[in-house]
Amino acid sequence: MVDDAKTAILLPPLSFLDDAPLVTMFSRVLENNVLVTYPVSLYTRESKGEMKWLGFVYAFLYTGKDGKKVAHITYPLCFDDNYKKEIYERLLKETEELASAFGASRMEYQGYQHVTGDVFKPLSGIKFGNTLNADFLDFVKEKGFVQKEVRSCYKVSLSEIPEEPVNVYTISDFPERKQKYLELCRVCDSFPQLFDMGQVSAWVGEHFFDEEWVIFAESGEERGVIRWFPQSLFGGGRGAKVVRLLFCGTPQFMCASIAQALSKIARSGIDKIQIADIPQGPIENAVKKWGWKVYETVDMVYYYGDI
Amino acid sequence: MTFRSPEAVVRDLAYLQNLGVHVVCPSHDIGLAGEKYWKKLFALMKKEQIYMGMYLEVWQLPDKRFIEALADVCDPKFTTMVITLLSGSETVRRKNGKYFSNQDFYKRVHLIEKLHMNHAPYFATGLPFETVETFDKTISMTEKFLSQFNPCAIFCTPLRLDPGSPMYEDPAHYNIEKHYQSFTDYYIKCKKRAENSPYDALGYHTEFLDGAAIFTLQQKWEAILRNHPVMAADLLHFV
Repeated sequence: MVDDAKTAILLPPLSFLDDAPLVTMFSRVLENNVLVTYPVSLYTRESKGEMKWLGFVYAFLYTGKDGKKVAHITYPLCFDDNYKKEIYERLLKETEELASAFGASRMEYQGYQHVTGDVFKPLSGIKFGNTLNADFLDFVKEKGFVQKEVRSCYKVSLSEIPEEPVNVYTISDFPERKQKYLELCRVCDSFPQLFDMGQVSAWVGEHFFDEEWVIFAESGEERGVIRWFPQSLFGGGRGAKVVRLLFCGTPQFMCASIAQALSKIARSGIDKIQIADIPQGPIENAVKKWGWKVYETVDMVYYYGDI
Repeated sequence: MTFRSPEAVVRDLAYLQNLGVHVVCPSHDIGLAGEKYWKKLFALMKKEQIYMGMYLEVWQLPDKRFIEALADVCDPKFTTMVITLLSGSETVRRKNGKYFSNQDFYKRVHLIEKLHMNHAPYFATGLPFETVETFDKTISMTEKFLSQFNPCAIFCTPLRLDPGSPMYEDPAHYNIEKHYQSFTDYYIKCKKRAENSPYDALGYHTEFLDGAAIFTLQQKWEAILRNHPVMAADLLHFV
């Protein structure tokens, strides 16, 4: 059945995409006027044209901070467990063709492991979203993907967060907020994509980029930003999820800024916070004192040829 | 105007959803069919578990209950309301059959954004009763909209005189001068267009604006958009 299935650049029904809360009908990325986002659906059609969905993966192409071209796989879905392996094989093959056409030097997938509780939205810092899929993580390991980096998400107890002498603030003016945020995306290594600030003027709007959801931190030459989302946006309660940490500075500055930002978030009536994007090392050592781990993201990479 | 039954529409929506369609565009504003109709339609959509986006061009300013109901029954992020304002001038708008104020319009747009739906205002050039001065209100409203709201698109197009339209049938009421009087006139226009020959695109002029003035206003409006691109692509794959 899978051999006869078709692939198309097509989203599956929206009800299948629970972990893609930031997707809109205008979600697509253009680079030099070329579309570089590919929702790849695998399906057959019944006699009256009705779709039988078999699988889905969202692939996108971008240039990494190291200047190398990257093909990224996210949101793998299988709708027929009887053919799971074949479906993943087929989806990977489709993505490999995109990667090859793009001249990618590597393929990436961000998986999840050690999930211990309810995960707040959005699950991922990837704009399209991602979904928990341990089988696909095992699958890419079998295919020769190697582990590159592990980051963690912690649920923190607000009473444990210390007060720190760091200036954290928000910016009410949207263009200024956007400019400052993008500048940090550009210079901080943890933001993976290379992009041209000259194109910023063409970047008009951003969903869920309200003033209070983007908290900046500064101390001398050190600076950073914390981006979070209230769960009420996604039909949840009074929780919050920190999705992106971008910092240029010492681990001490980063820890202090995170603590101050979490306190600021808590003051807005939030009673539960999950904080993702925490790198291993001193930052994690500090955050683990404030709460407990919810999950780990693991960056898997497959390198083509010499690196 | 006769609307198809909500049951028939929902059958089609279910069929389209099964085919993998994500966004449907009704041919007419379902609000025009009345509250009883759209309430029944939305209830049936819920019952049949239809959850799609909708691209809806609305005839008048939709009321709060309709907007909230639409956001509830459709996927708001895949739903767009195109609101036909026609003019930034309330007087010109009213004389052209749209009965709502700028203030009410802004309130509805705030609500649409709050519910995370997309929206797009629709202006027009060459409206009956429009002057160069009243068009300045369209310009300033466009600028305000671009700086204070987040539309997914913004439209402004010249009108074309359609045969059978109110402007065609009753030009004296609208103070316009028709350039096309007969089937032959329209046939010749279409023939010229097909041959890439110059032709009169508008087919009329108004009491205050000739064809050249209408196109000048159109260019003035388009100049704003060049400095404020809308529907630009995202730059980034990551938040």
